[in-house]
Amino acid sequence: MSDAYIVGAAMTRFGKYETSSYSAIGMPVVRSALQRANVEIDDVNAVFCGNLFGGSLTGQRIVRDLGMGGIPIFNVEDACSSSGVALHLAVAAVRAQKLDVAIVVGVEKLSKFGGGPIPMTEEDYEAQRGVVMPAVYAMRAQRFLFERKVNKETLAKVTVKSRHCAVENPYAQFRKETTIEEVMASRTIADPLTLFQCCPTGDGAACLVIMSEKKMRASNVRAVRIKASIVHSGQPTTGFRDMTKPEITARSSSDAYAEAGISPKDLDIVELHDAFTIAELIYYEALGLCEEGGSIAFLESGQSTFGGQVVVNPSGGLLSRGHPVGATGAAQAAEIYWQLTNQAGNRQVAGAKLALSHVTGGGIGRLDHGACTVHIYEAAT
Amino acid sequence: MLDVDKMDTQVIEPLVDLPQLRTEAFRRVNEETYLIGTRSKSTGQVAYPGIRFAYGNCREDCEASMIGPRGTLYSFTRLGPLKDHPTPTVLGYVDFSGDVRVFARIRGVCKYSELRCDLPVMLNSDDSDWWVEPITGD
Repeated sequence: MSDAYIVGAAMTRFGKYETSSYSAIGMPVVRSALQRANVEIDDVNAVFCGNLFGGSLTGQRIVRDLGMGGIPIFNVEDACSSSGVALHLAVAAVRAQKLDVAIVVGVEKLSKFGGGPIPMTEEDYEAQRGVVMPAVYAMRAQRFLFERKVNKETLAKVTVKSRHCAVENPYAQFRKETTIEEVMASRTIADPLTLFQCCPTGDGAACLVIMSEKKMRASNVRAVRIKASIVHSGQPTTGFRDMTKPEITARSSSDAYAEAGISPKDLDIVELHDAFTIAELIYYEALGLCEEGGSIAFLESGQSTFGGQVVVNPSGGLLSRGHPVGATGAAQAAEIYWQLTNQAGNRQVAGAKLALSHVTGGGIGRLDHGACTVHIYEAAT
Repeated sequence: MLDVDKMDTQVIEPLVDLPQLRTEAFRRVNEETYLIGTRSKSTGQVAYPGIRFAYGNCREDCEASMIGPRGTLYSFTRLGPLKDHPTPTVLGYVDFSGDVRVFARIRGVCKYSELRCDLPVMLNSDDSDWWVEPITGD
């Protein structure tokens, strides 16, 4: 068995790239990540590409224009968790000593849909009855507000925090501060969620270079060790499910902490799946960052941002950095790589040593989510 | 060593479910609307839309089961107007007895602000579709 390390990362700014194809969005980040990791194309043993709407052979189309081929190229689709799962598979292969060097690339181009909620799977019953992801999270939020007896403005505070962090992130789609009033005044998408409480649609790509320990020690690279890599799928049920307690996240993070041998309190940074404001609040609890029922106090006391117990989404998260769905998992890992190697510029979390990334893929009925990926990372000395 | 005489070589046919998904399974009985789901004989699991094989043991023992007409609104939202949804739609998850949860459209709402979690609701229908409505006067 070998440890697996991230030794290089690159990403585009997330935004709208209507005049760029999937390969035009993805190829430059692959090229850049390889250069930053001092890896030649011939050294790459496999490519793992995560995306949802890229069509056939997206990974091959991306690396073809770098002259890369012949090696195994895996295309991974797990909704928004796609490149998180791609990372998991690359890590597993490196740990099993099947590979020394792997590329993980996540890419998406949602601008091709012209805006609005992303298309759901037509064959799923709830999609046929009109469900879209904002509606699912809105119902989650409605139940949360009802049970916790709090008002809608509480949710808006998550966006305010997110935008504040994104000001210093050159890769973020939205980099302007906002206020609770502005968030509440933005148009309602699915009550109680307003536009600014929903992640934007956008395009972008992120790429990681993963190395075995043997290869890493022989290379001149800055490395981050992957201490845990967990993937779970949602548990199907035809009956009652508590939408304020995301069971797939709780299971996945519990297994990740066990694999890494750490507790939530040890974390310096978390990049979690804040596709909508309510998500961040329920994930604080499901990830064990605070006690059950304590998420609002955790947010309002400043414990989840710079100067607090743990910095959640220093990148601005999905709400502000953006959420080109297939790219998000890799983008979270790229942010954490830069943070743990002291390359995060003005948004650097001082002294960060341990971090966690969390990305879920939803969108079908009878499940909390379809997929959840949790990774834990450690700065390598 | 494989015993080829005992190999199961039966050709498996896919289930035909796509027309059924588009046919709403409901029935009116004495002016009350019920959903037609399934109940597993071995596990007691109730499902809507109905399922063919029980979860967990995969037994093909699910028989038709009437669900409703009263349920409890677990949560809800008003969606839109959006680009692809120009008319606002009120949606929700409804819990029925027998531990079955159904995603439903909500109609008959005079004021959206009157909706709340845990509100009692009743199934209703016309010739082509079903929905839930708040129960008033309880």
